[in-house]
Amino acid sequence: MHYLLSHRTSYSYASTVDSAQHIAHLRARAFPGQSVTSIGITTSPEPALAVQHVDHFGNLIDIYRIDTPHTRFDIEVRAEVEVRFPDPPPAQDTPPWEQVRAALIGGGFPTPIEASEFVYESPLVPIDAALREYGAKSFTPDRPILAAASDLMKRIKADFEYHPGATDISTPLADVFSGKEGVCQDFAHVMIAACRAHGIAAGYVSGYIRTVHSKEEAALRGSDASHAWVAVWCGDKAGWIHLDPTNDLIAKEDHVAVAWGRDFSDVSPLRGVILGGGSHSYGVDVTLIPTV
Amino acid sequence: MEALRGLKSTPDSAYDELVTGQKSIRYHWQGILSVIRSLPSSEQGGGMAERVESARRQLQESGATVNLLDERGTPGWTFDPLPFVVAPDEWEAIERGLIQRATLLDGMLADLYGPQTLLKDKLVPPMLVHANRHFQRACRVTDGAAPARHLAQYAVDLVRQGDGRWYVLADHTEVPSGIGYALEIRRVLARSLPEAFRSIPVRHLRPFVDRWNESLSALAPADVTRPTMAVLTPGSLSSTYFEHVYLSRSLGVPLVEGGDLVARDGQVSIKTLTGLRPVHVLLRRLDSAFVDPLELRADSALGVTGLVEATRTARIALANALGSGVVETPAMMPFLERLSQKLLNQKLEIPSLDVWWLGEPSAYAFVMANLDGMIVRPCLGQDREPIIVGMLEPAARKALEDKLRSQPGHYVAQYPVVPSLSPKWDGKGLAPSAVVMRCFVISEGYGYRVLPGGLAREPMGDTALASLGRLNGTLKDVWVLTEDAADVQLPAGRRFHQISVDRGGADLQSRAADNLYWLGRYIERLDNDARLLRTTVTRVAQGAMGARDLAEVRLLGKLLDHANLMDASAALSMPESAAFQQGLATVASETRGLPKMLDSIQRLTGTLRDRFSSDMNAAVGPLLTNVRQKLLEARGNLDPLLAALDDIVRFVSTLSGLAQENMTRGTGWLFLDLGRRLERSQFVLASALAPFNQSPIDWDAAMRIALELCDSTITYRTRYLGQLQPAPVLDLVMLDDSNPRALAFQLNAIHSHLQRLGEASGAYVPDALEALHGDLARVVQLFGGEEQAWRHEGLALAMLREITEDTERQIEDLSEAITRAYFSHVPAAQAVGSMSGGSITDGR
Repeated sequence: MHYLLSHRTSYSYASTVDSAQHIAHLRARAFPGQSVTSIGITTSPEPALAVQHVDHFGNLIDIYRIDTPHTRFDIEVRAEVEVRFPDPPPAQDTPPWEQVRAALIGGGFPTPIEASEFVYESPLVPIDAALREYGAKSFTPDRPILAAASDLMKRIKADFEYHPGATDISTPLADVFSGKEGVCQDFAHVMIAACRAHGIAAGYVSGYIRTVHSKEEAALRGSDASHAWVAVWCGDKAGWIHLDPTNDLIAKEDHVAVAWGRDFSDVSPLRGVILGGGSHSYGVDVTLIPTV
Repeated sequence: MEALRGLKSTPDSAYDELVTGQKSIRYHWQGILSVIRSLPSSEQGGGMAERVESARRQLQESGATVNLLDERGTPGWTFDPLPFVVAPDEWEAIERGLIQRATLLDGMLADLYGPQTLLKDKLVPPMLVHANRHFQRACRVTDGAAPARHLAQYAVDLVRQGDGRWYVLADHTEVPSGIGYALEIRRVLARSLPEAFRSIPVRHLRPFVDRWNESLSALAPADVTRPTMAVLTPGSLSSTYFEHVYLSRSLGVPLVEGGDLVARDGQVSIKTLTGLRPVHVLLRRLDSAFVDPLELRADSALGVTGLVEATRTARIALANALGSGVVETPAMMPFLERLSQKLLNQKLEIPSLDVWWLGEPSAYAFVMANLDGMIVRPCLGQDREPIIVGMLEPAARKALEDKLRSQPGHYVAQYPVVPSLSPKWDGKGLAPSAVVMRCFVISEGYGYRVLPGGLAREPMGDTALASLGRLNGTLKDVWVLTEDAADVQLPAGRRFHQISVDRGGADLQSRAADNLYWLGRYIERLDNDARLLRTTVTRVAQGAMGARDLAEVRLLGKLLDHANLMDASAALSMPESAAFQQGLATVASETRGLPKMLDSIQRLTGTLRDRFSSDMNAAVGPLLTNVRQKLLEARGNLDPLLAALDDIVRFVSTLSGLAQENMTRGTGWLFLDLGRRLERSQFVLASALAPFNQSPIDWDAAMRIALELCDSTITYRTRYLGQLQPAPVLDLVMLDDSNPRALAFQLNAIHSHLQRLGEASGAYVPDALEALHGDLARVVQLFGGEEQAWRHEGLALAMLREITEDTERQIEDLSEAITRAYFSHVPAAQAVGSMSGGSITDGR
């Protein structure tokens, strides 16, 4: 599937911001099954400094410094992306999850190293007994890993209510879990914690999901949203499989990935430090238009 | 507690540093022992006890023992005069081993923050990096410039085991503390036991410090010919702030906090009065995680936004590079031998103590089978106490085993350490005590250099592991003996860059200027409050008050209310009433102005410690504590309160004297004095002159109060033989510019200070107060008018009221103008961040 993407973020400040520095994880990168045909980012005001880097996880980051006093900051990404995540193997053909876990422990020397990094606790995903217990119902003995992970995904979709505004990024995972409601990033964090509690590598993928199915429908601009889901390591053969617990879906053509990391904190789309500004509010406007 | 006893250093198995197996004193200890033997006995004076007392006092005065507090708030360490002595050949081996280890750790850091081949080659377990809180992913170099040196300063704790060999107990690579304490302890010991240094060939530390400055500047970007360096500190609340100040002084570089720095286009600069001054090397004493709120911990208020990005362009070098703490985990120790073989092609010269990382199945099996006698520690950057397994209750033991089973990779285990025994002074004579030696290594060119000395420590508690990494217990000097006389000489003059003579002061950091200005204001406010209270208490404390006293105290009550020193209800009640007396007694309580003001002064003198001479610092701390205590103890009683107020006034004059005589009249002093002059002007207007604003009936009382508050009673009496009249009184407290407490004196000083600050910094603040002189003179003239008609008095009063109010307003405006011009009060930085997900709520 070929997409035209536009993602615009606007900050409005109560008083003048004298200077600002922002770091963005907005530049969609290539993933297995996803290629980026073209991409550009514009900001207003124009930055005094703009640099790009590749981060530890291979994501593309942009750093901006703005010296012009401003009361509003706009940043817009426009991209063309081609997505066709590989079909997952039949779940019963994937190895038992215990086998995958054993390789990820590997007596201190796991294989592959790239996956093992996603086994440990991370800033927003602490692992507690409650989450371990929750995951245990899916990670039953000898179950093929994709079957276990898919079951976990299905249960999260069923057990948790999608409720925008119920949580924000500072809500601890344990509260999300006990409240059984949240948004996609909470669903993803819950699933990641339940996987990691069982020694399974799980990463946080930030991106978008298509909500319209044709150019004609796209008249409803701005109805799309940024999204987040989970990449689960399913063994050497199957590799990373992208599971979306918010929608109980395995990513195929409806998901466009931007960046990935251990949790939201590694791939926060846009954060910054400003001088001045007083209180602020912001809006996000995402349009994802399928062109083929 | 029985189990604990089993872990005590057992003298049988411990190595004796002093005595050989044949019961003879080891050669390298004989010098110091004979010096001690030759000291006079304590009755004669000049004996050991006296030396120790003097050394401890010096350490207290220099502040070395002040900041390093344990949880209970008592000083965490004491000083032992007995040095730890190391023989020359032994030191050579230690030196070689530490240089090798530093080289190895640096190589590991370069790889872990770069290609990470050590993980791929199975030399370092990936978990020790990926689950390690010291691993800073933002500092992983994928496309920017790599630091030339990751490990530029390194501290290491060594212990000697029963086999006579040295082992590494702990590596400190994130913020290796202690060297400042080592240098200070040497300075103090050299002063209190000078005869020892004359007769024993002890290697000097000074040449090392001199070279440190050079080796740090070598880290600067290659094209910078005269690099600027600074010590980056978390601030005066840090437990090792003493050391940060000490290092900045010893190295001759500024001490900066995150708020002093700005990172822009890869260039990091210090904010000074005249603008930005580039800095090229930062000796980092701030934990990596807090260094940059943009890319590291967003909640850090101690960092510099954009500093990580600046390191990528290599316009700034950090010593150590960011994230250097990742290799200090004890879990690395089991792998260092192989790493040394692979990276350096050498065997480790100094082995690590045996440590088992439970992430390895064989180590795990071993530890679980031998858990009883072992000590377990979390190893991935959590700062938690080691667990002595043998001391655990059964339930806690079971909980620990569960944790080890479910998260083995988070723990290391090892056997209790039995450090060697070395002599210490126990108050009467020598006694054996366990000793851990901390050594210090710095990068130099392509290699490393070891401080020929260090910090020896008798660990607190029963196991050397329990107090690991902390500088507590008993600290002592380390003497490295030499056979080469050249080592005890100071080196011939080293080459300096040509420095142009500069009396400037324009380089003063904006933050320091701000703090000095407010310190000036607070000191003066403290003085004013104390004088005001003293004037009142003196009258009340004497018991039965006459009519004159009553009139005066009524006026003083109004002033106390205005100055917020007493509640209005008490201050405005009758002077003889119980309410008034009780109100007066509570001015010294913790929540009131005076103790609070003392706290503010303590905080500011703390942050300004690097600006004051050692004498000033030594004097202020103890005096302040003393005064505060006296004040609080006086609560409820007027006589001790009076004594405490006298002490405050005397404290302020001591401080003023020190500032007057010990500070160069640079911009720093100008800000300090400017603060005082502005505050004193306000005091004259709001306190000394305010009583005149009452009806002329009160003028008699008002005149006496004005003279007393302005410390001008004696002068007046000499000049006018005690006959009180408004015009001469007002002349003395308002117009007489030879009276240092008169308003005119303050206004003149403010004018000249502003002028000089303008010249030094190029930023001029106009002096609106100057125009007031004429008005002030006219008011005084009116009061001296021949006819004492009511009409005339009314006019004089109205004018006085107008001019005092006007002046007060102008002083406030001036203070704001000074703030705007010099302190670059940028609004506080705040973090903004967007949310992913279908819900868009407001950012944090």
